[in-house]
Amino acid sequence: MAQALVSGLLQGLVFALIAAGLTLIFGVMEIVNFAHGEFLMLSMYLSYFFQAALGWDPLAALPLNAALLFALGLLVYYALIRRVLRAPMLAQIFATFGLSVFLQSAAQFLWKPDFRTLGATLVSGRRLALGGVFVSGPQLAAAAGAVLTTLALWWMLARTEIGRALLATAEDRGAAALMGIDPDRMFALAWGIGAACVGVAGALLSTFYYVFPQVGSQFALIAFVAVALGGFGSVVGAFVGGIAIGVVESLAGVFVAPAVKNLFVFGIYLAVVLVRPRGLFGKQ
Amino acid sequence: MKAALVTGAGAAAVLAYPLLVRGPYPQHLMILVLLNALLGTAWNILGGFAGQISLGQAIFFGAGAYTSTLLAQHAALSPWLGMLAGAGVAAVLALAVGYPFFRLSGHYFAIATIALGEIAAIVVTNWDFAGGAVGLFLPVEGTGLAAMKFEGKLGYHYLLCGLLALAVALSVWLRGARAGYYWRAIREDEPAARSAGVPATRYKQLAFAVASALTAMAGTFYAQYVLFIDPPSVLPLSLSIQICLVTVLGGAGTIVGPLLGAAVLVPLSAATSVLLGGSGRSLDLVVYGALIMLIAAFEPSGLIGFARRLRARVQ
Amino acid sequence: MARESLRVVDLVAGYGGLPALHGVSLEVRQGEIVALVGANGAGKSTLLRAIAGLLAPTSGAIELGGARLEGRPAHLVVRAGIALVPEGRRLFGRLSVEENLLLGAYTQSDKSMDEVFALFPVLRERRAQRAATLSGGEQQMLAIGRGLMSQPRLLLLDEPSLGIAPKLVARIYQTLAAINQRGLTILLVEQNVRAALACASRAYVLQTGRIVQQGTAPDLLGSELVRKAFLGI
Repeated sequence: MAQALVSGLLQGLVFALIAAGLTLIFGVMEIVNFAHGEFLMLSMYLSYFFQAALGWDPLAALPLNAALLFALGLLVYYALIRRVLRAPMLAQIFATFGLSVFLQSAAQFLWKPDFRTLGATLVSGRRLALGGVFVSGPQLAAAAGAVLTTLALWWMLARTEIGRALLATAEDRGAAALMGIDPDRMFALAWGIGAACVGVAGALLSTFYYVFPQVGSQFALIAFVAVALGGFGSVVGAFVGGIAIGVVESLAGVFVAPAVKNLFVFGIYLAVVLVRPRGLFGKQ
Repeated sequence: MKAALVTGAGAAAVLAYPLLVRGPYPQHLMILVLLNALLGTAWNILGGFAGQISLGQAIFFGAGAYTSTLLAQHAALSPWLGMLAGAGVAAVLALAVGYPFFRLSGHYFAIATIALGEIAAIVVTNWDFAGGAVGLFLPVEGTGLAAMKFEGKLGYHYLLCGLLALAVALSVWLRGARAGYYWRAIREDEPAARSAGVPATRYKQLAFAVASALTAMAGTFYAQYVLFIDPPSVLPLSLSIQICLVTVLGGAGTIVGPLLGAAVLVPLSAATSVLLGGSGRSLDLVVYGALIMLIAAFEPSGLIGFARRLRARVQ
Repeated sequence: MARESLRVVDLVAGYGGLPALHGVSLEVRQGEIVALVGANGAGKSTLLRAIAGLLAPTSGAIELGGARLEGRPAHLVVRAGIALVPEGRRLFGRLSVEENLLLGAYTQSDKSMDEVFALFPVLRERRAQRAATLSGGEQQMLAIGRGLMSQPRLLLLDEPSLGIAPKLVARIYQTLAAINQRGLTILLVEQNVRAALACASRAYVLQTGRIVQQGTAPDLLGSELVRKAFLGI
């Protein structure tokens, strides 16, 4: 039980980071990024190829993942999202949904559905024993990395001018424009930062998770649920939601059956969204 | 007048098709086109007319397929009655699900439908009575109208034409009736529609129930045609995607849109499978994904919208 | 042409194809306070939004100090020196008073809030409070303060007295007069015609998207139209 809890908590911290990126994008422009999971998948493949081709440790190359995913976020915004800002919701949903389908199947086509694992990394092969509970090195490192990144994100939003500008745009983009804040730039930035968060998460996960084309879907689903639970637009909410889901998923996997743990996750999503659509900390 | 002529010619061509084109593979392709057109027409009622984006319609396809098959297996029920039963089950399911789901707006509703579809797939995969992951086989012998099983493809072709005609007729009728008027208002601006007195929830439910019932009937057809069903063939997310894409590609909200979309998409996806052999499977989806993005970004009204724009430009 | 003169020429603007303004022309000269009065729906807010860049006009011109501004998006208009205190304030409710003011100074390198605090001491007291928790009057003061932080050449105010207790309205107008004394040009839109005409030197009357009367404040106060329509006399 304690093992499941700790494991769930650690995993949940990574979910929280992924969810934070998703909720930032939604908070600033009210668009759900259905391709968020595929961004994660791409980052994981990046880590894999960095190691396979260049021998780089995924944790060392992590900043590069973040930078490349930031660029991808910007690219997706300028090439695609910008065109559907004023389009009907159908178009907005389909834009990122289509991107998700495209990226996932392109990955499948290019890299085959094989499950890949990374070779030895800085943290692999280590285990810590904390009062009867075993924690693997990679998982701990991933959790620590996730916490640090989420904290950095929070700090940026709460304490810097650009963070303030993002929050202002999220709350009222017209009023933000009256302050001199260019909404277009803020949207692009939100996409970039949201993608970068997921990029970091991908690098962290690659140290102990299988890398395959569909890996993003599972995490995206969990991210959606975490965001719904915590409240769309709230980074704090995403953090809390991510941890909660991590724990529930872990407990369900251990005490019920791994095959149906998704059922619980979906179930929670439906329950939250129907009972309290706003989530715990969300905007109305 | 011209529209009626074109429609008549098109219908005649479709009806005459299996008599003129005798190869089993082209006949099979046409059946796929008609099946997708049926699914798209159904989705169109909910997504195109009423503006509710469901990305989980496969659950109803599966509901229809499994209901009629299980009833045939365990209660020796005629597939015709099974088809009706499937439609009934789907409608009830839609009403039950719609009641809480329609309180959600746009994105949240869409995500909820994905979640629902995935739940269904997991549940059925782990449900032995329904065949679990192994699936259900339908007996190959006993062909004839009563058994809804035919030698060759002709019978299936005409059955499907009938179902499609039903769906299209329903679409035309509903669109022109009060339902269509309300749906348009709901789609354009639901809060405004509500304050103008439109019983939005009731009509959204109606669209959902009709669309789902039709989808279920298509599911029964599929089961009777392929004679094998399992969760990956009747319940996957990719099928839900395909259903939407057919309509959105052709032009959501129009009658012809789903038909046009199916006519373009099925041969396109067949061609990519043929051209790229085994890996054609995921290339299908690559093309779907790209298509969806392009439509969303450049022409949300689909091919019909594109054609209209061209015509306006030319005139 | 004086640097802070605003000129609006034959402006046509509206929403979704329906014009709310049918060719409006007005002028605000440097150092003036000009009022724009009219009933609900006359188009006053539309005019301010068009000047501020929140709305692109269908035709016509907007000039500040000779530079053409029509069609320029809001975030660039504020850089040209026009600040709008919008209808309903549109504060960032989830952020603090201080953060709102800092956002007002987004385009400026000087982020000092001393001037604003001197004008509205209550804001200094409440600087760490979330903007949504302020009273109506305090919110209006914050909104004005936020507008001033961008060091504008022209301040636009949309219904500053709406929903505010009369005593506070007087206080706010006093402050506006004081700011104007220091050289800031002001264009304000009001339904509260008395307060507006008491403060302004000149005024325009807008009715269903057209200017139907203009003149000095005393003139307008005495006019038939204004007395009948707005002052209920």
